Amino acid sequence: MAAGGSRAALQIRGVAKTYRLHDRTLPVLADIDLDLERGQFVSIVGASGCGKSTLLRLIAGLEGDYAGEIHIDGAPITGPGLERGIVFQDHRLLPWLTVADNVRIALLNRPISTGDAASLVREHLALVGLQGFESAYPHQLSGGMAQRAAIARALINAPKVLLLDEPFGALDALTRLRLQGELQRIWMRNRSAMLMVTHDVREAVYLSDLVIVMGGSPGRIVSRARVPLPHPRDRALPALREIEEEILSQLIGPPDASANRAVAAPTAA
Amino acid sequence: MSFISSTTIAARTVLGTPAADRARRAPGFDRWLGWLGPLALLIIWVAATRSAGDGAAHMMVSPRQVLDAARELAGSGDLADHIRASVGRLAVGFTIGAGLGLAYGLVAGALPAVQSLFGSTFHALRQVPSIAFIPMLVLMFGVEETFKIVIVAKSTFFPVALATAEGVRGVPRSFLDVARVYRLRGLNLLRYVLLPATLPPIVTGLRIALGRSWMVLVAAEILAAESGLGQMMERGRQMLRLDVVLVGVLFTGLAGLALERGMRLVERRLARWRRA
Amino acid sequence: MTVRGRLWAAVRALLVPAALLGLWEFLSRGGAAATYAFVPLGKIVAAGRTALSNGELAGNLLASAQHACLGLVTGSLAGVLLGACLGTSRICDRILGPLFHGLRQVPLLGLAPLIGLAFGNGAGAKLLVISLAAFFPVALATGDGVRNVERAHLELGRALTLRRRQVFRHILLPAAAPAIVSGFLQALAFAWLATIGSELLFTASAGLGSFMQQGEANGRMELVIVGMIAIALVGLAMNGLVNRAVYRLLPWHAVAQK
Repeated sequence: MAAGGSRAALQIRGVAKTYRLHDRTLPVLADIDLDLERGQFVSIVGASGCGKSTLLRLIAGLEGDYAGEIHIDGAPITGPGLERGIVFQDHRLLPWLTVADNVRIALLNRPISTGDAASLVREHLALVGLQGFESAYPHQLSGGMAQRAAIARALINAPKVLLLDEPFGALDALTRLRLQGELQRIWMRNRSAMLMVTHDVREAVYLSDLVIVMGGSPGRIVSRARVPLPHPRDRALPALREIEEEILSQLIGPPDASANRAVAAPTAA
Repeated sequence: MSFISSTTIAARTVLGTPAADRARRAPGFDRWLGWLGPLALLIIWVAATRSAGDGAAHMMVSPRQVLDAARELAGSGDLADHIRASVGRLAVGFTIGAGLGLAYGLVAGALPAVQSLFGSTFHALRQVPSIAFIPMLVLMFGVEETFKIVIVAKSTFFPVALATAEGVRGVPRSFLDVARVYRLRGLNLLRYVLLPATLPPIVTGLRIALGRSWMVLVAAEILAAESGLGQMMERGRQMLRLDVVLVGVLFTGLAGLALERGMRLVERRLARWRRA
Repeated sequence: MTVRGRLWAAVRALLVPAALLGLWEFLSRGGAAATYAFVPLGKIVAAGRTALSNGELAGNLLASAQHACLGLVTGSLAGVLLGACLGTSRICDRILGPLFHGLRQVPLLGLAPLIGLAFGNGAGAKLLVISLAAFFPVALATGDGVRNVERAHLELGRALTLRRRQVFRHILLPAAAPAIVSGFLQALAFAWLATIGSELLFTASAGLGSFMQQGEANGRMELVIVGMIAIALVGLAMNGLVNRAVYRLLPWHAVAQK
């Protein structure tokens, strides 16, 4: 769903990363080529340890020392930058600041007036559904609410790309489902490019336009699956389930024959 | 988890920040830096004593002078006498105070009734620092050995009693339940459950009390004594002999360190079963 | 607790002190020598009343409080500065660390003759001792607090492209604040101890320690005891203040601890 403009928002070419541990070398990533169009929602799935989080951190600029090129809007990245927002798995709200102040902290290095900042903060808190909680402290929020605040903080600088590193991994299953819907709603309002790393294939297929499967060591891109369905999506769509199973079979092998039989039995009756 | 993931995590933890990277590249240099501080201090000291004029003679004392004074005092047997006097008092007072503290702590920790009766008095008396007891004890017992032993005992009693009571109270219910299931009673209960469970905090309390009492004793000796390290230092001060004072400081510090290290060793041996 | 329950608890708490006071009074009746050591309660009360009415007690209390506060503030400020240094800069920690930890072990009051000789016996020496007593716990706690700031928070600072000054102000300092405050409260106790101690060990000026010292010199036990009671009361008051301060100053921390 490229929203005009031939230049991709995020371009990754031939990225590889090796960790040096005393005298050993550990390759974690190899041959990563990826394009993220403006307004596109892309997920990366893969088993633990395939390097997907490392890739995200490279894009965020939190780690360096890699081979290859990472460009954003054509310009190479040099360390962290406000045009790439990031949401961590642990919300990382500063416990001594209120929700509003936590979001405002992202505006510290922007030359805007306090009045403008305050209204921006209010706007984004409303966007994530936290209006009325401006003066609450993080310890007073539930996990889901805290993560929503983190999303607001990451979006307030209108980043070109929003990076999400297993954003719902630390939440219980029900909250996770609810927040997936929230994220979809926010993204449809906001339409910034999103790159999400997750181990939950269902989540990836539900939210994304494109699902990238990574695997192996060093981690490589094994396959790419398009999800050409319109948004907002219905979870029950059979097309979603098909794509999900296709991806799963790549990750963990073909589905168990006995399991299939068990599922088929009731309908046969 | 695959081999890669665990080592990736390890790598990230180990490699950390660029500064840590730099330090890791030259580990020997890092350790060498540690000696820079004390070395610099020593150099400044020697240089200052060299350059100081005669007028400041009593103020500036070179390391050599301190060593000479130490040798002199050791040779005449004075140093040994002082140390023996101080440590002797410490030993007697500590034993009395620790014994009373253990007894009180055991009873107060095990019987809440005792705690409610004596607790407020205990708490109030604890507020008065041991040093503040000195004038009263001097009036009561004079400047002889008794007053010093009493003050060491007082200084030891409170931390030990507190630690013991907390240790007894802190024995997890679960251990006592297990003991009941296996019908451990009396001596067995003491040996296999109560003692090992309460010993670590008690020994910690003993260590803290020892350190504190040593300090209080030296202070008491400075104020009112005929012998002892504190008195040696005070006399040195009165005679404007900085070197003697420094010898006293040195040995006070060494003794304190030795006592603390010794107690820590005991602590570690007794608490071997504990998680680090 | 019911009213009756609270009443019973109060009675129980006062039982032992009452018994001790009774014992004291009994001992004081035992003859001239006993009266010297165990001054009758009546005399203590009278001395206390006199000291209160002629302002002697209040004056000395204030003087001690002043010494303590001055030393506390100087020592704490120096402590925070050094602690921040030790916690943030590896080089600083490496060079100054061993010196700091070594000096920390030396008992302050044992250094009194040394300090007396070097700085004279007056107010300067007292201030130094009290400041040092406050300095070490604060420096230690600050260093630990700063060093233990969660990596996750520091990484957030990097992701938000915050500059060093902003990281210090918005992340390091607030994160280390609970540790610094607890170090400060420890320093409070040590500074008070050092105040009384230095008043006893150095030449008399004003202060509760000197008050007691004079009582001892004149053989007046009742004054010494009045002084000790005053010190105990101040200690209790400080304890209460400290507990309340923790609850007010660090609400998010206190709640999180629960």
